Amino acid sequence: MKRFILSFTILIFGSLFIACNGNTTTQETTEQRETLVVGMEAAYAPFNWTIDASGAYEGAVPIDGTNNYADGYDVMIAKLIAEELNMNLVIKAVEWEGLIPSLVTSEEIDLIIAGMSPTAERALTVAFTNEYYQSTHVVVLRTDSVYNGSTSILDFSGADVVAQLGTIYDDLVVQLTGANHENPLGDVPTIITAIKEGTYDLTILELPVAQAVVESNPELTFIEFTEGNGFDISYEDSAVAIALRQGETDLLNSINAILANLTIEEREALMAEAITRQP
Amino acid sequence: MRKVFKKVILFTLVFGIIIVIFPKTNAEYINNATTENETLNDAIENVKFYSSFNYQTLTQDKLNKLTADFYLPVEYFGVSISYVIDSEYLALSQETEIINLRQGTSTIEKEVLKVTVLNLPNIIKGEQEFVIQATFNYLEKSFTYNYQGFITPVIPDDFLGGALYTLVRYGKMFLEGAGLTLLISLIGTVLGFILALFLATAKIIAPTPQDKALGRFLKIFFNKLSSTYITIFRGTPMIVQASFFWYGFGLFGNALLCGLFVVSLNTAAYIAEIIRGSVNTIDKGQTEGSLALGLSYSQTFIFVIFPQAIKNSMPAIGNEFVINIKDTAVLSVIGIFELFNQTKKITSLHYRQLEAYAIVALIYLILTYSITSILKLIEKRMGMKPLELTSSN
Repeated sequence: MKRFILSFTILIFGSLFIACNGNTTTQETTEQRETLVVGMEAAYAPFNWTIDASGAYEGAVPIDGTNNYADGYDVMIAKLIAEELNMNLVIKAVEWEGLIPSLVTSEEIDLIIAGMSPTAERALTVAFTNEYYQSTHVVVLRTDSVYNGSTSILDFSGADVVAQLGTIYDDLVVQLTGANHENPLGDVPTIITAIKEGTYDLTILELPVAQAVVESNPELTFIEFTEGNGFDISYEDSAVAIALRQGETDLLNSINAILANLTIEEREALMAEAITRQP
Repeated sequence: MRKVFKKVILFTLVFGIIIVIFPKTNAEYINNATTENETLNDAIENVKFYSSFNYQTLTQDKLNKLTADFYLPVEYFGVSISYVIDSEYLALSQETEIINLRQGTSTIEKEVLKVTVLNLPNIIKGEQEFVIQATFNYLEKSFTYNYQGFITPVIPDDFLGGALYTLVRYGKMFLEGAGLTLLISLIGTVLGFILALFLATAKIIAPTPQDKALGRFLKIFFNKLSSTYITIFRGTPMIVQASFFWYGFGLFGNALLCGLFVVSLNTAAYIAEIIRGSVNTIDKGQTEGSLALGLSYSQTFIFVIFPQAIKNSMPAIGNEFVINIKDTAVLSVIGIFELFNQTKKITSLHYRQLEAYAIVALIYLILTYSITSILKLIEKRMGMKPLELTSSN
């Protein structure tokens, strides 16, 4: 019996070692500066993604409590803001559904920088800054799809359309006149797999995300619509903004001031940089 | 005559020294040389390569992770540059072409040579070093400088290649996830077992006619408490419990601790039922026997019934550990980087799920199969040993 207890203990400490080695590095840089904890999905390239240390570019930020790094457009913006505010940046990976609760309820994070659109619904629980990126929405489909070559949102009659649950993408499906609105799925990778397998015909994504998807999935392509033929989208839906707790006016104002100094060209350059960095 | 000779020698010496120290006192030439060097240095330091993607500047960091075609400029402010690339993966075009670089709002034209990536190394070979030998020519001077970089594999389009790439490239992430999954399930099972001992005891002990009012009340109270606990935790999914405690309360302010807490509570409910069932299978004659031998009711329970019941339920508790390895996957919902969550992050890097999930299924299978085998071995050895009841007397 004693031997079993011994081996049991060894197993526990062994796995503790595997799980925890390297975690210490994240805590070393705590100076007198305050920390700014930013939450993101870390699974929404090119806005944010997770990568291990060996594949991380210079400038990627460690994800709190793990040996992984976060990188992407959101991380660049987060770094910029933390630098301007003279704060230490800490990045936490939180599931999409958990982002707002982590900000508002458990106050585990201070900001959400996760490619989130400032919808009126969300604005009831959180405060939003001005937009830090504004994108166009495109349709992603297989290159051999019968709908490839369409030029207007009116050309998708009969298509099976799936989009991500709880996002603006799903709200836009109805604008594809005559298309079948399928039950939304949880995350973008699942949707991409389903489209590749032929379960659905197409999905709606933001342009940078679509570019990232097509980059590593050559059997897919996306359609960008010209002015007047694309989706009818309000500002709040096409923009992405940073969310913070309501009532933190000082932080809101200083972040808005930082974003105001960031020109559209600089934003596009950062996004292009993010897309090339994505593995 | 001698004096004249001396003077001549002195003169020759001084003049010779002057000539040696200032070999060519051509001021214009010196100036020219320094500006030439400066221009060359300037070119070497500031010349930029351009990626075929949006004509972005290739920084050293990007040269180290090269996957796509790129452009080399043939001229930098009057310095002409020629290149030699010795790599089986890259081909330098002979003809120059013009690309339009965007700078702010305006564009500038640049004459460049295109470097085509012929093929990428596979993931087993790993990244391959290449050297671009650039020769800078300015007026009479020329200088050669070597730029280093690495051609990096990308994920192949087919399933097998993609799976191999995912496994090798992200092996460490899988391993870390597996480590955490093992840790959480193991600690969760051990803590759950300890808690289950109390739960099972509370549920089993029934009030006897000899009990006083307070004892009776306490026994019934703990019995009901334990029953309610077991009903709630067995009757709700762990994913709901995890979300409830984490997103509802932000328990412990640390997702990992909260996850461990949830697994322990959940496992405790199941193990308590296992132990209770096991106690029920112990023959009534044993209780009667030990009571007849003069042991008290609680002594009988602690020293006679419980050890046997726990020993008998060990296989089922081990099984609970194996189940936990699979069930802790739901903790990804509260953002713990265990095996499943790591896999989810990996899928989002390339938006390719099939490969990553095939690998993670295999990893789970290896984990559960090997642990089941170990547990079987332990059971076998435990079964061979005599009952260790004597130690408690």
